[in-house]
Amino acid sequence: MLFNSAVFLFAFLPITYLVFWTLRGKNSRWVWLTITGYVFYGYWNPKFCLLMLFSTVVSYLAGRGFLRWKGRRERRALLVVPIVADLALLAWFKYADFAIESWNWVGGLIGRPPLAPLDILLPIGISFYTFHTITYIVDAYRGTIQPTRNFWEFSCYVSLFSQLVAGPIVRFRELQEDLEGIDRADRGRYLDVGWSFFIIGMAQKVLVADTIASIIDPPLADVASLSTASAWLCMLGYTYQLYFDFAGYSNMAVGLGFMFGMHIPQNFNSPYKALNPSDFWRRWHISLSRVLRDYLYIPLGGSKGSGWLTYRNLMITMLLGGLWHGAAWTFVVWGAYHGILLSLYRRFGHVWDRLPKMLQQAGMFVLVIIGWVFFRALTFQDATTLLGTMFALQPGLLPVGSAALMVMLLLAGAIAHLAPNPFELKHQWKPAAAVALAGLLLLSLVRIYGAVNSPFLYFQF
Amino acid sequence: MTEFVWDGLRHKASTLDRARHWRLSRLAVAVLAGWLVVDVGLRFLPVERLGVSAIMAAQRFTGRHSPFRANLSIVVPAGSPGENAVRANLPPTELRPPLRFSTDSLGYRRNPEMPRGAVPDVLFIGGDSFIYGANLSDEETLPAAFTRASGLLAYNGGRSHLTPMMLSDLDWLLGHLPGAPTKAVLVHLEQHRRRPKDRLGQRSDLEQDLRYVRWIVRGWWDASPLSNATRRLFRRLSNDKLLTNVYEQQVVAYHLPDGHSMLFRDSETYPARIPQTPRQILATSEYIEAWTRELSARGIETHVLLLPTRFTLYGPWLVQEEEERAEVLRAVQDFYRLDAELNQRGIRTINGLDIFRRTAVEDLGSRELPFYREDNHWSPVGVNRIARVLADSLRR
Repeated sequence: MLFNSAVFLFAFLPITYLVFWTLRGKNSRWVWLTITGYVFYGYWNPKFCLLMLFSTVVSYLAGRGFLRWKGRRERRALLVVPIVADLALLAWFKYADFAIESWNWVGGLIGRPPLAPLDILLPIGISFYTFHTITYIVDAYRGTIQPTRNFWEFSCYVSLFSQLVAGPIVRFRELQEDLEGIDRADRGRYLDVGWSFFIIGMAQKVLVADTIASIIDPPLADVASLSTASAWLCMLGYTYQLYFDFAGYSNMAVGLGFMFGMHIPQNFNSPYKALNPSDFWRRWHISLSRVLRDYLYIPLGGSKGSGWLTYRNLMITMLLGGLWHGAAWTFVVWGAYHGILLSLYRRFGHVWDRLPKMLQQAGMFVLVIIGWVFFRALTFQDATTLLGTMFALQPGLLPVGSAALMVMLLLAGAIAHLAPNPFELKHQWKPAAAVALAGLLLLSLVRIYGAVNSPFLYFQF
Repeated sequence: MTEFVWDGLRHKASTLDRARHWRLSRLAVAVLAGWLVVDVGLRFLPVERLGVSAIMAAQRFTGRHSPFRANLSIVVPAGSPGENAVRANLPPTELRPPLRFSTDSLGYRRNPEMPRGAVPDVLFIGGDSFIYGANLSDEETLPAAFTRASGLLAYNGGRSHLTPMMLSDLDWLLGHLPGAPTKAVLVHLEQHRRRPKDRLGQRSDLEQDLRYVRWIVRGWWDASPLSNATRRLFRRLSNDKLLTNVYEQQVVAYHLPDGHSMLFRDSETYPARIPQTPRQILATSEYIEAWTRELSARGIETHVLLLPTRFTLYGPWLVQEEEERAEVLRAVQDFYRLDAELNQRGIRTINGLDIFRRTAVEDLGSRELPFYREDNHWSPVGVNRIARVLADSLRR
């Protein structure tokens, strides 16, 4: 189910909300949020609810195991077995066909017969809830959290609909306090803030990202025919589309969290205002960056070792981060590209930091756009063609709708580079501003009803 | 003054200064509720007068076994465009004269050539919109044209593809007609592939109840004047000037000798794009055979009309690329393989591809094509041609 759909807005959300606040006890609210999470997830394909249930049960049992067994060997087993089970699911559903495709490419070079692809349907959001359960198990192993004894509390955490299919990746410790105090939550306290986040997020997704997408998707479907100006316009459009799409979803998730008394953490902090690669990754998809830092980069040694070890750790982290986004070599290259940027900044940051701030911001923005070429392209060939067109002067016409695109780019650019993000706002609206936000909600409804709705880009990850 | 602070994990907010700030939550709920009230409220009005198509309007509040609302009469004013032109958001070049869409007391499309209360000689079933007659007026539908051509009274048992006929629907219909027909024309559309597990309708009462409830809800929900109006708005804006026409990719256009384009949708090119497996052909012929058996058990002799898509029919003359041509020709072969398989089973077939193919080249060059250019359905010319062949066949 999409947040930007009539069934969500007019059926799922009101029913979930009213029943949630009618129920009083902790258990009943956990059970209700679990049920609604499964309905939300199963609306797309009910079969895959079993996968989420399996992942939930395995991780919950591991948590109970940590409470019961204190021996080193047992705890290691409780750490490894469920993580292997979770990763095996992820590997099978997300990476099996990618592995076969890669093997076939290598096999073609050495004369081996190709293997038939398995054509496995990727369960939506598997990368997100798998990370939720893995971080829970690791935190329980490290003693950072006290695992819950209550199955419904844990299942409510895993299947919480607001963050289920496209994040943010919320760690159990970040929600534990709200989950434990779910029966004491104050319905009215954050309701206005919640709606404010939700409407801003909806407008970012439906009005900005989807409008840009409707203009740039047709020309980007045939990258070979683009001129240099079109290629830059389209990639600039994609840069903003991706941000407003994902940040929009995250803001809607935060808003929905507030409506149910939960505090979903910030996922985007105006990333296109970043001055350098490190700054960018502190601002873009913050919840993923933190997970990669705490559960991969630091365990690998972080920046404590020699210079080369740090570069190695950075590269491994970013390569795996790239692969997490999608089972394709273009994502690996995108990860490698950012790994190299981070390494270069680590080595030459003192030079970069001496540049005027505006130049740093502009330079970083251009570097990010170049990276998105690999993120957007379906194949290497498309990526190299697009990059070639962007940097070799290729004459040609601008894409259809470029006037509207430029207006949207100016608007999106002003919001992304100059305006405060929703976490920097006070969310107290004077009448005129409140009416303007309600107007944005109304416009979003018009678009949801009338235009071709696109799913959130991060659903595919 | 309210304070809203983000400290990494927690928000802290105190109460709003009500005198200066508005409760956004109330405003947002009011917007959503207002929208819902308008949306739902409009659905209770005569939606066909508010821009909803006649078919969608007719599919609301149907009886349990009926495809359409009973005793309905909708007049569609002149100028309605073809479905594929609408789908692709292209300016239509082929507009319809005024059409009448009316139904009888059983909720099936009326054949104006058949007197009320008369016992039908022939029952037309299957064939979805080709049989009930999308984009055709009552008197232009196949059963009506057949009655004129043969003198036999034909009952239009055509249903939407969303509510295909089940055995229980057939029995209900036969039980409610003034008398049972002795012959049936079962129409099979080329793009419909059956699977071995496809059933004719041996369903439990509960399954049938659920199916009916789902259909009622869906039929009602889909016919939304508000949704229709907003869609029109976005289609207007997507004019390749202000916004890109993203709808255009939903059809493929091929040029005709007179310079006009023929627009095809996915379901029409599907048989050419995806070849049929021998198993599918077998399953489809078993499905058709099962229907003929069931009809025979009810004392009805069945004639099967196989109908190709426009793409399988005209594709060999329209496509330019060799690879694409090979795909269409393979679809043609698949079509004949199904026909041969049915004949082997002793089922009498009328091959629609043969009927139209003989004159395809002249038709493509003429102004009066048997099929619309901007719609996947047949025109009155095509209907009359098929009706004459069927009349000859059934007389024999």
